[in-house]
Amino acid sequence: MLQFSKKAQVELIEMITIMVVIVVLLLVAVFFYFKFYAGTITKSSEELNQQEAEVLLTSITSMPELQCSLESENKFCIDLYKVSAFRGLVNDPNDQSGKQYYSNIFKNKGIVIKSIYPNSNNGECPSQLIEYPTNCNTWIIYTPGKAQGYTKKSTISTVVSLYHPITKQYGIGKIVIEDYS
Amino acid sequence: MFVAIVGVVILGFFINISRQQFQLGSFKSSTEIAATIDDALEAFSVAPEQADKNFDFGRSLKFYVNKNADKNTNFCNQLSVDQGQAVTYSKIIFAPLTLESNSINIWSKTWFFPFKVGSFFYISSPRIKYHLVYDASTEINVRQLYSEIPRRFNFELNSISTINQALANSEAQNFDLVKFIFFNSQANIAVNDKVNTLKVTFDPGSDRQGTLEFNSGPGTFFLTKEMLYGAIFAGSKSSYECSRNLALTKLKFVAGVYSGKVDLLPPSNTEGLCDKYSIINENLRVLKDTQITQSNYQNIYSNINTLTAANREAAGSGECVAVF
Repeated sequence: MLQFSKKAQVELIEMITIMVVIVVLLLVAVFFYFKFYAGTITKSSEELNQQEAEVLLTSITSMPELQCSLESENKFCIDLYKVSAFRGLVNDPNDQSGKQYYSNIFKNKGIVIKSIYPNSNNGECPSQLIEYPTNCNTWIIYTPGKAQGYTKKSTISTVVSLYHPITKQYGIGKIVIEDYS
Repeated sequence: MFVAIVGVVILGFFINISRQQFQLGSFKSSTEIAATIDDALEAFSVAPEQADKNFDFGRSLKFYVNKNADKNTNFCNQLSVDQGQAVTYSKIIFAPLTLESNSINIWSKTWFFPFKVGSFFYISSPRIKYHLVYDASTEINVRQLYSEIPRRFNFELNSISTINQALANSEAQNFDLVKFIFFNSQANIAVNDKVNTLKVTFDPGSDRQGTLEFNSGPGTFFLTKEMLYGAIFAGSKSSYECSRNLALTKLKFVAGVYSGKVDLLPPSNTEGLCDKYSIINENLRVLKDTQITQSNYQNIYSNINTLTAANREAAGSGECVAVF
């Protein structure tokens, strides 16, 4: 019959204890490492999101859906009639195809256009531009589904020239990108 | 014995963690590159007419565009890098199915039909060679097409009499892919993984629309020169159709915006009633509501011509304003 000496038993218990401690320490180290790594991934994701917002802000002014065009020559301004029409297309309650298509482009970013000059009352403009600029100064083009219940919102904006094709007058406005994350 | 078993288990555990960590790092890096390319293309779309650029990544990467579109159209419009996650893009990109290179060339061109609809992006690598092959009836058109392609792309202009299987075999040894684009007449070249063909047939009397046969397969159509360039760069018929259909979807939405704009414009001003808006809107609605297919694509130019003429007249009259 195999018999262990008391000393050998103690050494074995010691060794097992040391190994358990080492394994626990390594697991704790792995846990913290992955927690740190998850943090860097979240940071990278935020940076990419920020980069996306900046690129969108640059490119949105040249979207044919908003940009001024005169006899197919595109100008660096925003056509207010296109803004109203585009808002109607994206937010049409009877046809979700526009919302669906542009949600792939705008993703989790809201798009708002605000008139700065000529000065006017705050408020969202109706679909017709008859009362502009006296009664309104804001067009909410797109609001992402994520806007409800978001945890973080940051905004970036740029100044643009707003063109009224009937009066042929230019105003000053800004495009605001609201980044919901 | 016990210690050895425990040691092996612990070692295996950490080797597995390291391997997963390496894969995760590579996946993250590839996904970041795909997202950055997507953003770079977005920035490119600001260019007024066209732009081209070379992106050097400093190491060899594999790019996949519409990789599985042949199997399922749900995989349309997807870009991925190495083993990274595919990014679904809304841009109109024409590229080979696989690009393996340190660098890629990008060319963007604005698509007008007849108003600006969006930008087309053409992507290739220095390891892909294109031969534009003309015959006597297409030489002028093909020379014109060739002259517009940025020199950074690997294009060569050839007469059909110079094209043969020996040339295809020799070029296939020097490049990842060699593509012969034949205009109207096609030489007998065997198609394989490294040699592809595209036959372009212009419709009678047109230098901008016609039909295409990828690797002598079933035909499809192109409407404009920008779409023809798209077919030249696209990796397959399915990949081309993914991007072309995305362009036609964009056309519907932009036409919808213009149609909405006409609805908002006051029908008269101090100089009188505008009678052009109804013609413009009627033709915009055709672009918005018509599904352009192989069977009706030839009719669309009559709407485009009417629309362009009515808009020009609207711009020149005191009663109306130009819609686009």
